[in-house]
Amino acid sequence: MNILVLVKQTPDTESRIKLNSDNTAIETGDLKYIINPYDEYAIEEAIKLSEKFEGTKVTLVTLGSAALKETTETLRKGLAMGATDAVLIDSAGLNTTCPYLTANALYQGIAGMHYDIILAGMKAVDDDYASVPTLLAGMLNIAVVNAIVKLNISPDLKNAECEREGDNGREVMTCGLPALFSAQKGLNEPRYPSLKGIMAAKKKEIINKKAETLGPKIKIVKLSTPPPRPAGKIVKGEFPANVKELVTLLRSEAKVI
Amino acid sequence: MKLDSKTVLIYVEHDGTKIKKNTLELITAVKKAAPAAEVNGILLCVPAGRAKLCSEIEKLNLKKVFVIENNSFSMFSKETFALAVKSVTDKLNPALTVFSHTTNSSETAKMLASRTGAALICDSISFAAYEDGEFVAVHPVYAGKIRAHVKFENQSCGIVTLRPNVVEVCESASGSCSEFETVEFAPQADNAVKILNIIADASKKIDLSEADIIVAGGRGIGSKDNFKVLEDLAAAINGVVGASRAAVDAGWREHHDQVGQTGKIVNPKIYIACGISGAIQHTVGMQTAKCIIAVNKDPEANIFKIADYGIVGDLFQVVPELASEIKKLINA
Ligand SMILES: Cc1cc2nc3c(=O)[nH]c(=O)nc-3n(C[C@H](O)[C@H](O)[C@H](O)COP(=O)(O)OP(=O)(O)OC[C@H]3O[C@@H](n4cnc5c(N)ncnc54)[C@H](O)[C@@H]3O)c2cc1C
Ligand SMILES: Nc1ncnc2c1ncn2[C@@H]1O[C@H](COP(=O)(O)O)[C@@H](O)[C@H]1O
Repeated sequence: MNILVLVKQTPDTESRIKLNSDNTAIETGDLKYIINPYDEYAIEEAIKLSEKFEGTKVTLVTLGSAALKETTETLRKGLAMGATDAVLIDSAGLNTTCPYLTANALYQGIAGMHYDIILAGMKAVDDDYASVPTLLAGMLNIAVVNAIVKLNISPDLKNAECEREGDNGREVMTCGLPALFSAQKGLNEPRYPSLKGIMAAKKKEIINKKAETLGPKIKIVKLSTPPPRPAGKIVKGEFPANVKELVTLLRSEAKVI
Repeated sequence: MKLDSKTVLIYVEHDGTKIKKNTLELITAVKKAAPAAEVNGILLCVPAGRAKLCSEIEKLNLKKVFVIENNSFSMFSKETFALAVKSVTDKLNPALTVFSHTTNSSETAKMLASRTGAALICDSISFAAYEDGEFVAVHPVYAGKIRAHVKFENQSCGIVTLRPNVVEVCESASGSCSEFETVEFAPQADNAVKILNIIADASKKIDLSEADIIVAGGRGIGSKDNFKVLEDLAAAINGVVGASRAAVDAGWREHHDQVGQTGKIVNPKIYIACGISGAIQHTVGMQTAKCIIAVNKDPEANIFKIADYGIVGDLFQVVPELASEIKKLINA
């Protein structure tokens, strides 16, 4: 089986994000990067499948800056977890703030590659659009199921059965392959790379590709920071008088009950 | 893209018998951003639900509503729903199609974008006409630490989804709508994904992202059974129970109860955080709540920095007392 896994590097979720002086971009100077947390679920699912289906190739695909060492580090982390191959599509000169252009560059990058399934994260924790997988599946003209929490692939690699949380409950569905699935938390527990995996990942070759850019469909006019929350107050006093006081404040001051 | 007096299509969301509040939020937001736009609606429903839903739509400020009835709408399928909406957008050519950013509607919106090639701005918290009259939607990035102001570039039509609960419903949402047009729609064999079953979770009354009141528990709750104290408080004030990731990872709550960066982003009127320390990955998911109340035994806990009201104390004492005091007040 051939599996492609779309991975993106995102700032560590602990990071404080600061804007540049003209509010058009964020300061990236001292940001620490991680593999997008949802993409870790996608990598883990691919590796689990490769353990089940002999001879499976798991290829990581990222669109990122080839000039940044963090981009290759992200791929090496995924390789260390157990992926077999890695492709880096250079984002130099591409506008990656528009999800269409990202999806389109990924589309160009994976053209000619073989795949039975594509796994992605359900959302990137930097742009938070959660739309690249659906847009890419549309370009590839394959089925897509987002935010899956369970995946089963039929032994003949013709069908998949999967589950996700919808507004009305847990949706159980099937689709033919090839198809794209984006991973939600709960799908699995991502493993830590083994020492052997880390060593092997260092020696692997990363295939570099390029993509053409198109005009963007959406554009960021500016960035801003949300208004800070005014400082709150600790309701003083002994229990249970403080609870009584809180309820009074909720009615008379906050007017929420 | 400028909206001016252009056509807008609003996706009317309902639970089968009642129009959801988020539909009124969409109308309010559109009327504010584009007072002169012609605002229409689209309703997908099963034939048996039509009369009841249309009687509610009559009280909305919409010019006209396109109704598609089909028994296949009894089960959600993003492909079928998107194609149904497309059958209306193809002939109406709206400049803007607006969905609520709920799990299902956002999927339909993405699918519609993928099928039509229309530009999409997902998960916005407000929209307005910018200085030069351009339509701009505000989309939180980096889990809400930053806001991106996004516009459509060189597009004649766009799709936007709006988070539930971020817009206060105004009178501009109410009106009278008496024009209904039935649109024929035959679900095609777009069988890429087939729904086998939807297993309803009886305990899940209302989705966290749409809830007005959330009582959330963290590691401080200590066990699955202890969540009963939060269930009781939630029952007293008509709220729903949420959880921190620590509580979810411990197996005390389901994943869909998780609030935060890798869980739900919520916007309730009241958020009561009990036994939650206030890690950044948690607070980014609830910091836009109108009123945050924190109960924690550690006076140094981070959660107090963003809480409007805090009580330092043992939650097993404070929470039941809070429930009983609120009950007294409500019943008085
Ligand atoms: C990539 C990534 C994504 C993440 N995403 C999320 C997310 O979406 N949501 C999320 O919540 N977290 C998320 N986290 C985890 C986050 O960093 C914290 O670990 C987590 O939020 C801590 O949960 P907690 O506050 O319940 O537990 P703790 O930090 O352990 O806090 C427990 C609190 O309970 C208090 N307490 C204990 N007993 C009592 C008592 N009897 N009465 C009153 N107070 C008491 C303690 O004083 C303490 O403050 C993420 C982490 C990472 C790395
Ligand atoms: N630049 C990228 N390179 C590779 N995969 C990406 C990229 N951007 C997004 N993706 C994939 O699409 C998912 C959703 O991203 P988004 O739509 O940006 O929130 C991510 O979890 C990745 O799996």
